Amino acid sequence: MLRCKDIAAHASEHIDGELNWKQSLGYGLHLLVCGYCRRFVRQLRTTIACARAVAADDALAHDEARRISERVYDHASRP
Amino acid sequence: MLHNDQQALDIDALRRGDRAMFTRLVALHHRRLVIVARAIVGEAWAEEVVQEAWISVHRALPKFEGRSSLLTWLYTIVRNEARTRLGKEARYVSLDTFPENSHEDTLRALNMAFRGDGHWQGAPADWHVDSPLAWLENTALQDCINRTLERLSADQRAVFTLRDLQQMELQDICNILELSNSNVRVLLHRARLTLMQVINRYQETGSC
Ligand SMILES: [Zn+2]
Repeated sequence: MLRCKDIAAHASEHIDGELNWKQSLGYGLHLLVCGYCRRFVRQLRTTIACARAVAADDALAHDEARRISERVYDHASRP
Repeated sequence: MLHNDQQALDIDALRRGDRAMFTRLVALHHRRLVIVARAIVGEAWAEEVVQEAWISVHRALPKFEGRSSLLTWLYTIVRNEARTRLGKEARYVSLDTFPENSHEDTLRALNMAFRGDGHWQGAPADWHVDSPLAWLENTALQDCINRTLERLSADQRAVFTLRDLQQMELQDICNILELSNSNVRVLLHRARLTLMQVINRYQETGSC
């Protein structure tokens, strides 16, 4: 039987579908009976969604991107 | 926010050498490529390595066949550029990349408390809301998350970026960062739990 500690340790693998069927079964059974661990896994999913949403907003300003792009095209046009 | 990825890149235009499209490609990916380069060559060379990589990308684009995804292809070029820069030296090693790292170490490092029998010492805090987007209306939480991302080790940040942002397969991440599968998993879990604790603290105290 998996302990809460194991559930916390392998929560990312659970979320990413990296557990094999046997591990998955044990994991699912524990979640079925343990509200704390269900909460923990739910919060980890929420965390990933939050961080992803925040980090996605990371494009370079157009001017900066254009400067890099100009340098690349200059380089390419050199003999 | 959330608008960047939704503007699709026109790969045919990129292959033809369309300059505006190339600039878009740079805008969308430059920062993420620098994050990954940093994990391979370290802070000092990362920006330069990616600048050089853009020249290689531009040169190789007409021959890009789309057999791998554009993303994996871009990161592979950066990885190769980074490797060239390192020459024969070993991979830059951040303090985080030790094989003895395990998930158990991660729980310990983050002071997550369990009883001797492996049960939670206390209940995980109950979050008031489970919809992240509702929370993110709040710029203070966004700042907390951004600051936490900046403070992650170079390896953790790179793994987070490749997996949770770019949603790349674990195996591709291993190849790009030249890390073992178990190392990548530990780094990813550690990054996520660190972020989770920050959100936890935020929802309890209203600050980072
Ligand atoms: Zn449990």
